[in-house]
Amino acid sequence: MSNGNDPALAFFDDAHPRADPGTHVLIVGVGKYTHGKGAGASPVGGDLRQLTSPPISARAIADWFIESFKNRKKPLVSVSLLISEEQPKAYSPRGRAGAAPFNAPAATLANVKKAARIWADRLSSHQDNMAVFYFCGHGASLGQQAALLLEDFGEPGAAFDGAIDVNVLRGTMKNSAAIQQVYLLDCCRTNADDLYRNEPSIGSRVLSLASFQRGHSAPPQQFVLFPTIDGEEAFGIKDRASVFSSSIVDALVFAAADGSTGVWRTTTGNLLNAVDQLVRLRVPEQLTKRSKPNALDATSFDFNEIDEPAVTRSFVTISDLAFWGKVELECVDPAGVAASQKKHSRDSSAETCCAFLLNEGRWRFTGWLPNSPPNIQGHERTVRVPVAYVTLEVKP
Amino acid sequence: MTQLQVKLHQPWARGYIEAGAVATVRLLADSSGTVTKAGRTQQKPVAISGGNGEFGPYTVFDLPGGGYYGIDITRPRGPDISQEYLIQEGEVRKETITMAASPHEYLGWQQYAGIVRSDPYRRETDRSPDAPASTGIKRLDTLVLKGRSRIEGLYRRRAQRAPRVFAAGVPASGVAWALVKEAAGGGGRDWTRVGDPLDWAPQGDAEFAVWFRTMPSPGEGIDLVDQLRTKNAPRGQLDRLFPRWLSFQAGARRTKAPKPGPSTSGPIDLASVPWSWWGEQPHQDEEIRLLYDLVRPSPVDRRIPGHLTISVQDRRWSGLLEFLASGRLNRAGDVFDGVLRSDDAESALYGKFKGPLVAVAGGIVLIAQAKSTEVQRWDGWLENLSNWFPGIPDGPILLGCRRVQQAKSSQELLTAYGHLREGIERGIPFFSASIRMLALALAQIGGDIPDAEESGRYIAPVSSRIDPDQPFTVIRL
Repeated sequence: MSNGNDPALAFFDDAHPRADPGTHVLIVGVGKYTHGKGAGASPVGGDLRQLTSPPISARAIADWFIESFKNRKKPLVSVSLLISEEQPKAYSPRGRAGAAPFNAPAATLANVKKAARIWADRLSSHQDNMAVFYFCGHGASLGQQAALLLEDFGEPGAAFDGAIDVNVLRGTMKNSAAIQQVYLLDCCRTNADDLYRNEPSIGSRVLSLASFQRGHSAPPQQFVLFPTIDGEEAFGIKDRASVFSSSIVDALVFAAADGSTGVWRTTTGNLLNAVDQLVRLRVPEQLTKRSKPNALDATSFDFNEIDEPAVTRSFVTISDLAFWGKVELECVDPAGVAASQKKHSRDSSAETCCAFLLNEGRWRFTGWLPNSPPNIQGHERTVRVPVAYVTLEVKP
Repeated sequence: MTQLQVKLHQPWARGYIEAGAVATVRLLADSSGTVTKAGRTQQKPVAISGGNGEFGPYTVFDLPGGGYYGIDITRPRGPDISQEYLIQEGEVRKETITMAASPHEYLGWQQYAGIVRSDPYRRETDRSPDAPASTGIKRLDTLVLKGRSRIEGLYRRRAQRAPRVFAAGVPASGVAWALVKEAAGGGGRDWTRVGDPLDWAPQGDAEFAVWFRTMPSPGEGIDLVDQLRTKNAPRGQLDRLFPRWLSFQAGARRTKAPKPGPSTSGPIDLASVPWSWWGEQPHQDEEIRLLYDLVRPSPVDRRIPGHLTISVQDRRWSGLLEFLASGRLNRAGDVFDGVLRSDDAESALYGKFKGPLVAVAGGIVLIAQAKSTEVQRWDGWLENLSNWFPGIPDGPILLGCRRVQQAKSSQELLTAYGHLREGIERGIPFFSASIRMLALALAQIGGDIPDAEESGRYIAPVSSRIDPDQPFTVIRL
């Protein structure tokens, strides 16, 4: 294993013993589509809007891995980063003062192929290495097929090549020595799905790995997380990380951790639950109904650890979002020991919930509307770290 | 002894499901409300009772003492149900948690599975009369408006009547894949109608149509299983009663004779129906449900309202099938191991218990969750499943997928590919998961065997048309 000549390498732990297993991350963020809407539009790619969220999301994920990822058996060893954006900016990992700014290569098919090959090569050093692949950008999905669209998707003459076929990537990675593999695919689901109507197979093989050379008999465990969010509007707020990526980071930072074994561990199974919950809080139900590729053989395994949380992040929302922006919410300690906390929903305009930091214990949750009826029905319950989700009923 | 005994109640559903959801119980605080050190959580499968909640067993959680306990119920789809109980020291607390009711008895189990809306009569876009038109938060208003207009559009364009049902002539050969590709591309669809429309009258309302079919008798069940023992079983009376493939044609013309040439009819859902599921041993409350949602579009065709769902209501297997279909098998954790450990799948293969399609379902889960490529006891019956039932395309596909996992040489890889090819040559599989596994296996070996890459392209037009949320194969044309 080496850091080699990898133009996409944003982080490498030189001190990591070469013989020990570790985690290797490949991050691809595509905001710029050369043949998407704009001057370079092509017949196949021309409907793809230029996006601002993916480069931001990709950097946020890279920041989280470099700064916060913790897995004692598989510590972070490398992060490779490819970003396509209108105005390329250097990446300076958060929390690593003095680190030289890094110019991530563009997420073109050629660059992704090269980075994927080196990533796979690093993973081949140990069966207990963990592979993490993150993508943020346009996606196309129909039935059981899905493709991740890269910067040069739609290029005349090779229109459908500039994409990653998810089945082919997963299938090929089943030949990797690394048993545990995590795929976090953050795609906005748009009309690009229609591409499959005329072209049943979209995308290229970005990686080739020889079969039956894994060197061990444990089948790969692949965990795939794919969003169900519909449309670009729900994808993210302009110039901010996407809803899905923000939810992944929040799930990893606190929401998915479980301390029942004494260590605050996040398994991939818990990650799925937590991201589901957080996305529901942030995107109206009408936009989360789209189907998703199933993670058929998604097994649950340890992914990350956090320090024991001191407070419970409590997300409070209401059953009818028509009243969001008008309702005021309050958390009250029934014993009268801790101070009450109040928030107005109009101050949480980016989300459809208010977040409170509460000590563990019994709390009463209430809410008011300026005119009633309807009324907000109060609710008392025990909250435990790391997270509590509370939905108050709007009663006519 | 302090205990919490739990089961779920799905109002209006018939019978019960043994393991339909997963319950996670944990101590939140002692009886005074003081939080305690985080203890171990307990996770177990729970039964879902239909009727008035009188069916099915309670799942017993032995608790360390009195206190506030939280329980989270994970179902195949939808958000978890969370409850909190104060249980006194020494108390044996029985709780039947009632889920949202469906207004129709016939939608009870679909309601549990998350296939239909909790209240089909209430439009998701409805607002209470007091609700303000706008929240005043621009982004939220935009999102809600977008979602509402999409759903409103679907309601406006919803099918005004149930689709007509035909037996479909899907060949039990590799040609079937090509036919689907051609039809999906606007080509001939005549093969989707064999003869006249079936005289099947649906029941339902403005949003759903349901076909209640008499399930095969024990004798018919044996005959249906026997048909699977040959690749091209002769068509007869049995096939007229229980066609292997059905097509549901929205907007289909009422003329009996199909018009030659490209069809101009509406969308078609082509469904593989597992009539032989129970073999000779159906329970009275177990059946196959064919449900057509007139409003919600297919995941494969989201602009056109209406799509078909097939569900098998089986006491033992419904929960596992729905978790498998929704991609939440990992949320169910290891708690469904009991279902498989009971050897039901293997017994089904030998005709001792239900039909061989149960063995296929078991094989899918066993392969997906296999911890080792070393030969397991069930590797043997995968071979038998493939060899004894040429009428089941899934058999060699599962065998091929397993052999790809186990291959240690080029020759073994070629043999594994041979099994996958055999599966393709038998026609389109019963289970959508088999098609997904086939695509992944072909991709896995495509770098070594160029023909496998070609086979992957051959099946792609079908896999892009499969409803990925259903356990059985439903193809949108």
